[in-house]
Amino acid sequence: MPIIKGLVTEEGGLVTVSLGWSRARVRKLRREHRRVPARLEAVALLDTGAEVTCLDSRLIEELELPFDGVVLAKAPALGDVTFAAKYAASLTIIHTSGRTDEHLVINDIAILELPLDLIGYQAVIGRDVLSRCLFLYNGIGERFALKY
Amino acid sequence: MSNETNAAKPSERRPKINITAGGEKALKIYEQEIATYVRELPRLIEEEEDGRYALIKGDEILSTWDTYRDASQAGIEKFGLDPICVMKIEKRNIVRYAALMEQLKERECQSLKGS
Repeated sequence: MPIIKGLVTEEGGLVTVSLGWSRARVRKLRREHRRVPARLEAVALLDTGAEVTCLDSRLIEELELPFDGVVLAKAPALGDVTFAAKYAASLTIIHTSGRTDEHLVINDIAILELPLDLIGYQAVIGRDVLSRCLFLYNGIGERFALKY
Repeated sequence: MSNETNAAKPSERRPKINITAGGEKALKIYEQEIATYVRELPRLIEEEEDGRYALIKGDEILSTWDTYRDASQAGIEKFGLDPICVMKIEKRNIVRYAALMEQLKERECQSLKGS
């Protein structure tokens, strides 16, 4: 099982992620000979307090992600329960080795749009993704490990 | 002190739901689907659909699925690249969405009073 190890910074445990349209939608776009919006990379906080994975509004706009519904979820960093739009996406947590076979790839995921730039983040990895992982947070040693 | 003095009004006790800019936009796009979800949620819970995903269009729950991926796939097959509405069926959402509806209603009343 791949494992990502990192340092706990002042901002918390951070990983690099790649985001784009969901695989099913990319297939549909290609079948219709339409342009597939480019993927982008972001830095994401591993946050056990977030129910769902969230992305900053500006990045959602850049990715031109399609609407997929709405969510009422707890996003403690932005107050209590938040009502926000949900978007269909794909998410890859990039392994520090750079080897693609060690990345954590989720082809279809619902992502919540939040004004995360207000609190200095681009993305937040919530429990919907962490439920697939073993997440070890060593506060004393200022290290974290994410196994999947 | 009497209980009456200490008791907060229900609207004061209830935590305010933070609605994002995207959420405001989605409220308009999915007005019907949200109403359908709120209306059908107790029945879906009763039918032990808790934890599954509903594909909703207008005033109809089209289908329910075990995973988000399956529901999303079904939506793409039916509606192509048009926006679809996939909602997780969760018991706790009965209370949460009731609070949201109440908050929206209060907001509407306030804006009517203001105009």
